[in-house]
Amino acid sequence: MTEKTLKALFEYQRYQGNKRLAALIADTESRYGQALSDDALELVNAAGEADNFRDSFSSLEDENND
Amino acid sequence: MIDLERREEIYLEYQEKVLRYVRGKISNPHDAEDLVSGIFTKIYENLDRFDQSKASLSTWIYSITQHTVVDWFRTSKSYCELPEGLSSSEDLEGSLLQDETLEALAQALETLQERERDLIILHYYSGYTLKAIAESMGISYTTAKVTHKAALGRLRKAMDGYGA
Repeated sequence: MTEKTLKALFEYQRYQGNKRLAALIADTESRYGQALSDDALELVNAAGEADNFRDSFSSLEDENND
Repeated sequence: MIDLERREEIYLEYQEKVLRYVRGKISNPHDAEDLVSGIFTKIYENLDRFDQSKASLSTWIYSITQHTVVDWFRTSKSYCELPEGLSSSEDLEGSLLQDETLEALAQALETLQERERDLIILHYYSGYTLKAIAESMGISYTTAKVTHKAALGRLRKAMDGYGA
């Protein structure tokens, strides 16, 4: 599975709403929804999406360059 | 031109999914509502041309929903950066857009350690960077990257049979 596929499947989950997956997401978000720092929250735009996948891609580049 | 009964059937069956997706992308409820109306208008106008040999109705409606949201972001007067997840979804093979695939993903996630699962969900669903996740988990960025890599490897193995 590529990262692109994983992102796309989670994107599809926003539409399909699979209950089993929704429960896992809810579990994670219940523990971390409030825990993300103010700095991190600034990284999430008004649509609830991080506008900075560039950061995650650059981290991948770091990994690939290791 | 489809009849009213069919329109109502489609609306009742897919309204929740479409609304859930749109509300997840567009915070303003009025904009979201307008967009949902626009999406269903497109569905009704194009249903005659829907070819069920190429995709399921649900997948087709998902595609219309996504493209409409993308167009909205591109043309919105209060311009917002296009969420990354939208562009990647266009490349996903239609055969993977099934509830069964999501079920398999859930099953695969359940095999991960809690931290690995949390990291994957926070990164790929909630959209946080690994740096932000590391901070919230109280771990180093390096640890987050290592955990991420391990989690992806386990997911790939668990999802092998799905050609994902």
